[in-house]
Amino acid sequence: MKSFLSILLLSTAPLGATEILTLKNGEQRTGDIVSVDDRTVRLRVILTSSGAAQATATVSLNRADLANIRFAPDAALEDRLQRASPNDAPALEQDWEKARLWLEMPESPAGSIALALGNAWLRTGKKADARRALDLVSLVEKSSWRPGDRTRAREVRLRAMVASGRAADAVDEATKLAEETEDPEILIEANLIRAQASERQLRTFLQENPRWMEDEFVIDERHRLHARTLDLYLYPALFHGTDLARAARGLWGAIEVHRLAGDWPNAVETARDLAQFYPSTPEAALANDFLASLPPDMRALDAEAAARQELASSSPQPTPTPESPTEKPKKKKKP
Amino acid sequence: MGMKVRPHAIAAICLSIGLCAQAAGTDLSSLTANELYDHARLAFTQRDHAAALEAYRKLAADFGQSPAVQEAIQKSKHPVAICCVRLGKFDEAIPAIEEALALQPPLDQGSREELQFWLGCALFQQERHPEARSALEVFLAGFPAGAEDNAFLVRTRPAVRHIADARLLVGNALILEGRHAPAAEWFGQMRGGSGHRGKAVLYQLHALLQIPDHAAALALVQEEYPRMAEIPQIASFQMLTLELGNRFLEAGELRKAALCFQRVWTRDRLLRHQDERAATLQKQIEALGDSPDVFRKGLLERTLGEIQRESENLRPIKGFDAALRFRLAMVYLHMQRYREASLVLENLVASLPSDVTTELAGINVVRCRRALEDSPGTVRAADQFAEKFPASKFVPEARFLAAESLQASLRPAEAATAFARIREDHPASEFGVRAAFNEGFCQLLAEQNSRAGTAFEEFRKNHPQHPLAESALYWRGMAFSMDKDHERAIETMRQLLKKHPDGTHMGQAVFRIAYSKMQQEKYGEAADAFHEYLERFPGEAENNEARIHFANALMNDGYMEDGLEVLRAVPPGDERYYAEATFRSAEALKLLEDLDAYRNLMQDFVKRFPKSPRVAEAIANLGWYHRQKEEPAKAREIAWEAIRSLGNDPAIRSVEELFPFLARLSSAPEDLARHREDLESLAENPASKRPLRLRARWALAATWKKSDPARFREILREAVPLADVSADNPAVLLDLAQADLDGGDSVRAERLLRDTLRWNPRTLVKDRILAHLARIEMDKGNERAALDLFERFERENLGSALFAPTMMAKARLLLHRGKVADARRALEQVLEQNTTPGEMKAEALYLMGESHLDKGEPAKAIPYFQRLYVMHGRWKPWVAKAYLRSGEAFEKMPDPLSARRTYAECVNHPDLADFPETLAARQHLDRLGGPPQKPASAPGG
Repeated sequence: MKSFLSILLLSTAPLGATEILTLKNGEQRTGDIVSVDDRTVRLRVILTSSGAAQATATVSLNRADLANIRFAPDAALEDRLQRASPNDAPALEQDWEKARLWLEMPESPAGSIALALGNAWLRTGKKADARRALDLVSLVEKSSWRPGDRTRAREVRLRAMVASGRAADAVDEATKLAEETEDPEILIEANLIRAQASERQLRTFLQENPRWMEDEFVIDERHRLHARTLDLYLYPALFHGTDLARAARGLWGAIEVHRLAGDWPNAVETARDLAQFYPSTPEAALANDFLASLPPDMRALDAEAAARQELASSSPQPTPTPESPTEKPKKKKKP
Repeated sequence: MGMKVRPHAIAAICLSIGLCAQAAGTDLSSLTANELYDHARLAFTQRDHAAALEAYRKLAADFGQSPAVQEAIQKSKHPVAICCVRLGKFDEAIPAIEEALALQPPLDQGSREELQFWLGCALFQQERHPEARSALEVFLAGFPAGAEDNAFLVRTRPAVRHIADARLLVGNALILEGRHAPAAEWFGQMRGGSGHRGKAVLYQLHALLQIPDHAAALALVQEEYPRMAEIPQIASFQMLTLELGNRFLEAGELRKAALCFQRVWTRDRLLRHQDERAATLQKQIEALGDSPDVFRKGLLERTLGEIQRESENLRPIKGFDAALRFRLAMVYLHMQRYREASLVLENLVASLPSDVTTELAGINVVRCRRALEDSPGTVRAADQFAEKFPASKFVPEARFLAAESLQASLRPAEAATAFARIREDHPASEFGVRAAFNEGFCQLLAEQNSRAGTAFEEFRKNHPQHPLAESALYWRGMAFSMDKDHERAIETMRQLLKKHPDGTHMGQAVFRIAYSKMQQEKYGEAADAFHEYLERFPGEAENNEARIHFANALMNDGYMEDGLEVLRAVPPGDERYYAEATFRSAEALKLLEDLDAYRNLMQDFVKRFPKSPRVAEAIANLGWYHRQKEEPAKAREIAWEAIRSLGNDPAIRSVEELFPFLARLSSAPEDLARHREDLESLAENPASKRPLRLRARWALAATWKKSDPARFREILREAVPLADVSADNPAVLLDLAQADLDGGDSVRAERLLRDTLRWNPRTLVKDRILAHLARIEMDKGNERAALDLFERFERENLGSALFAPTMMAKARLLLHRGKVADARRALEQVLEQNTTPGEMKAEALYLMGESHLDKGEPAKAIPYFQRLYVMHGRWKPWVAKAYLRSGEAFEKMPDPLSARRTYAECVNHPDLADFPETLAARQHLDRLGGPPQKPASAPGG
């Protein structure tokens, strides 16, 4: 475990970015952190301020006496945390270097910074960055003071595992998490990972059994894989529709599976869902392109319009009623 | 659910900004005017508003006429108004404020602004909404745009902090006046500012719903829900979103409804979110401590209160999640998107306690899975439903749908059993009755004809008036027919015709009577019956089949021409029966020796149906014709013509059959040489595409198979690169793979075999492919993989001629791996097969005996050895082994006498003398003291 109790020397810029340290006895100290080690925090505080002149002093505090730390508001940092884009990674690395020693300290933003940095690294698409992200968020999961950060870290870790080439481990982890957790974000990510794994299995199955529909010994397996993949992809949109990005990913995954199966009506309807429910997502653009590529007779399929007509004419009967089998048996005895 | 603006909320706004003072206990009647004024001022400063108001009023009442007190009275107007507000006496506050605002000289700007705001609040509290709105608009007009964000103004004009509240109240007043459109616009503008943004969103949505402007409401929901967490009363926002969704659902705007429903959280998630927010706010309030920023603290406390009240209202609503999920499911059900519907309903059932709603959801899950033709899903859902709701009236339906799905998955025996249980458990339910019928039907599908007949008979007895009673009688007759009990089939069909003269099975019944007569070889009666059927029931599905049988009946009775005429009536559109009719006609024409008509018929068939599986048969028939005409060259020419025109299409499988036909025509040495040359040039011809080149090479190889196996193999191996596993005939591909195997290239052979199987899962040569693959794996030492292939062979190739040898190979492998029980099972299968060669059975018996002997079970081993040498005496090597081991087994029991007898039999067997086992038996016999003495003859015998 990396020791985060190493001495850290910070810049001695004029007092401007102010931290508020609250001691366990309720007292507060406001100032700039000058240095930190495993026992002591040195803080530069203002004694007097008159015009342009400031009288400051550096005080030492015992780390063990600290209850929490609040960093001064930093709009630029907040923006970086929101964006967490690959371009933000260098600045976030610096933010992390500054904040990492406070990961366990209540009220510190260290966990949030680490998670943003992890996300930024993941978005570069490079395996090496994904591995760094994996190490980083694993630390957050273990040590962050904030339960929410630790929860988020589990979800980011899943993605980092997939991105760093440990997809099989990610699937196992995702399966376990899906059974244990109720946290929506983790559940969604876990189910998406499982869906992707299931889709890979389905594609492998179809490659190995291109004429599965003729093979009574494998038909059930195909139906099982197909149903499981679709069920997992549809999960985010159906149950966590406010998570735009993941719901859209899930719907696009479902569309791909429908296309793979040649189930054009469902592919069309799901594409329409995606385009209308999540219009600002990149997947919606893909869905629109897909719809535009279809021949007119397929584009004309419209389950909603048909349902509206039926609703207008009578109450719908969604229940399939059993019909008496009047057809002959498929197998015929030879005379 | 509607959204009500609570006037008491306004009181809360007002009251949060001050503290209510407790009344002082001073006796005011004894005070002078100055003392009263000072007392009032002090009380006011100390925020004892009740005492201050009392004192000010006493001052006005007792000294109001005195000129000396007038100035004091004027100065008291402002504090009196404030006291009324602080004490919540809004009816008194209004005139007091108005008096204060009318003062001359006027009050300072700050006081006027403050009073103007509270005038609006008081009027609002008194439900004088238009006046309240006017007052507040006056208040707002006194500030420049963005004043609340201007730090200087905030410092110098404290009333700025009321701007957000004032705006909120103006909007609320519009709502309460019923002016929803202006209210929506007002709150829309408020959303752009920084104060009360969350509330503005909420009220705007409420107003839009009231107008109603659902499109704008939806746009608002879509725009705001990504920032939903910022709205303090998020539960109310989501309730309104749910209401919007309801309206879209009623209007049939299903996607818009789904869009709304999918954005509403579950009750638990909402409460969790709000609880977390409340905790955060609580911490922030505590962090402020005794901060002088009472406004911020008040704001936080107010927000905290709203969140807590909302949570308290939401907490007892148990049916929230169910209502939400059900509505979302209804959207998908209406669109017949059963997968989405079933997922939502499954979640509902799994996450909520059992009640009427989850019961209904549960049965709909079963229905949806059935509609998806998801058999495992249907069965699972039905089982879960029956377990969770055992007393539900829907249980029979759930179980019925599960059984039906088994039937649809081609598992009729399981389905029949399931239907039987439903019939027994739910005799009074309609589904129980239908299950009784389906039970019989599935038994028919499972070829359990006798049981099916009984089931249908029982059905008719128990439900004579049921709509399915006619069908039950029909299928009863069919069961007899399938059991080849044609007399009873006829009798039953006649009964059907009598009982249900206008029934749906009339034509089928008449057909079946005719068919049964045919099976009874009563051709004359059959012909009459088919004739009647075709006359009475034209256009029925069995018509063409009936024509075939009719023609057969006529021809069997010698009416060839009449039969041909009937066959000519089968239309080409029904390819299957047309082919049947064509070849039957050809047979008849052959008998009539009308060879030209025969030729024309075959030529016509080839022309019409070049891709038919029977084209080769037609060409072979043409070949026969030309041989009859002593025109073998013409026969060859026709076949070559067909090969050239059809050979480039790998889908026309009958082309492969033409090559052996040609080969038979070229059996003479010179013909064979020319035939090979023709095949070579076909293979090399640039006009020949890949499929034809491959076929030519394959056919060429076949000409060398017997005379030069090495060349046969070489030609096939050279042809492998031409193969396309996704298109070519699996029989050809198998030959190529076999050549590679025999030639030592098992890697390429394995790839070819696996690919052939992938692309041809139902090929007739699957057994050979699997057997080869298993052998390859064994040769590679991959025993586990070999066993998997053996198991697959066993599962998928029960009737194969290779079954016994493959199971033997499996048994040997299992014995090698020490899996004795599994090996014995495989050996039993070998012994059970009628097609197992004798020698293989002998070996199987020997291995069974050995397996028991190895396990120290000599008594169990002996019967197998004995069976071997008693029943398979032809296979001498095995007989010798069996005798020896049998004797050794007897020794181990110990039964030395039987051992000696056995050894003696072996030694004395005339055909076993040369086997090493016989020598060993002799040695054992000598060791035991020689053959046993025969018992002495009985006296007198």
